[in-house]
Amino acid sequence: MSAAERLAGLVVRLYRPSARDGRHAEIVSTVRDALDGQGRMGAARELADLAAHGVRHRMGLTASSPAGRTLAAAAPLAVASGVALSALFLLCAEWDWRPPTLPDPDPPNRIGPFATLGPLVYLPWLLMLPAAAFGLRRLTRTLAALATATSAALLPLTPPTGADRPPLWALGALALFALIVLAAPADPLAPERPDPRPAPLLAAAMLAVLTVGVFADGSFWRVEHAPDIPDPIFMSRPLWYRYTAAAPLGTAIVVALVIGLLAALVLARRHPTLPVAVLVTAFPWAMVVYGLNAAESRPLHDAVLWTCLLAAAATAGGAAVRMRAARRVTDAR
Amino acid sequence: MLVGMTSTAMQEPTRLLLTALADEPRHGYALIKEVEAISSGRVRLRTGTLYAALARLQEQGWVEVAGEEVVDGRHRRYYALTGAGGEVLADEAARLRAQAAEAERRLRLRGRSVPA
Repeated sequence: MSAAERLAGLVVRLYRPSARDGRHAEIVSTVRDALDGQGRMGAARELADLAAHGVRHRMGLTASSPAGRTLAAAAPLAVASGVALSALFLLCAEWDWRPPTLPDPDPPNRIGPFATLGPLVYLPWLLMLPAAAFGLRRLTRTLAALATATSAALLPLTPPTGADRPPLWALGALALFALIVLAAPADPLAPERPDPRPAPLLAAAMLAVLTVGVFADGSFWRVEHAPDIPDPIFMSRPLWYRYTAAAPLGTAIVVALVIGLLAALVLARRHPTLPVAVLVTAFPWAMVVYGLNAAESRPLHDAVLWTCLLAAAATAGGAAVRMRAARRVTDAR
Repeated sequence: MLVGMTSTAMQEPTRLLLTALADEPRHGYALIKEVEAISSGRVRLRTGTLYAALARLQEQGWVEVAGEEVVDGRHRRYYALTGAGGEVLADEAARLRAQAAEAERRLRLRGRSVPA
């Protein structure tokens, strides 16, 4: 028995025991046959695929499991959320709209026209929109993995380069959206070309909500005066990831989430996993709201946020209990 | 009228898997080889992907276990197409046939319209 075959026997153990007991010998036999004549790279790919499906099976994230179906429903929402958030940050928190004639109050460690290294994360997210719209699932997942890896890499990368990075809550929220996309299983019975409309429409709607939140605050229109320029000039970067537009933007997000949840409950008869999918997507958004409000005490806002979080946690807990019960029934068959 | 043109197209690996089971029951590795042969080497299912797809197809009622045996120390479980699976594959074949017929009809028209 080759090392790859021995490894295959170990990798199969990643499957949940209930499935493994019945299929362990069968899967090991098939993978041994499949490994015959394959080079190291081929064998590595074969085992990686088996390990990925084993972990997915162990965690109950298969295409037929309730959690898998919920994540599959949440994935388009997560893509749209990440795209909208990235576009907002890129335009309102990163890009320097300031005319070159105005003095720059920021530290001199900007990256070209951008305030931080954040665009390295936002670019893969923005590319995810056409990828999702054209049904390019593998490309969408690759870009999600790239965005997550870049988010993680920014943490050690910023000190030596001297550049800034977006705050942790911004990177964390985008990483959670990306994890939802990556965790969503591929359904072999899904149509070859999915409906291209949801991702762009959802992203546009979310960006509209965020834009309303930003514009609702007068600080977007704040003007600056320069000694040598007689006319006032519109302020740039109203967000800068914090404070100025936090209140209306946070409120807009919370209101949009509540409306989204109500809409999902209305559609629950046709799409039973949609309400929980909206709640799953709400967790990263709650992180954004929390981050925007972290600098100031906003009791009412915090109360709404924690209510949403508790409701989401209670629903997720209930769903987990139901999934466990359903899994027991499946395993007993 | 184009039969089934409005129905949603099935993913190619799923269609190939059902096609591989259309004539007789097959075990896992035979399915991998058969799908590779039918697709002229373009599609090679990996073991994890194969069993995930088979589990989904079984849950859908399109595929069922037809028997088990041990050959040369290797455990084989045979899978077969169910009646429902056969109907789905027949519909898919009709859809593809209609598409191909339409493509050929238009190509013939194109040939006529090209000036000599």
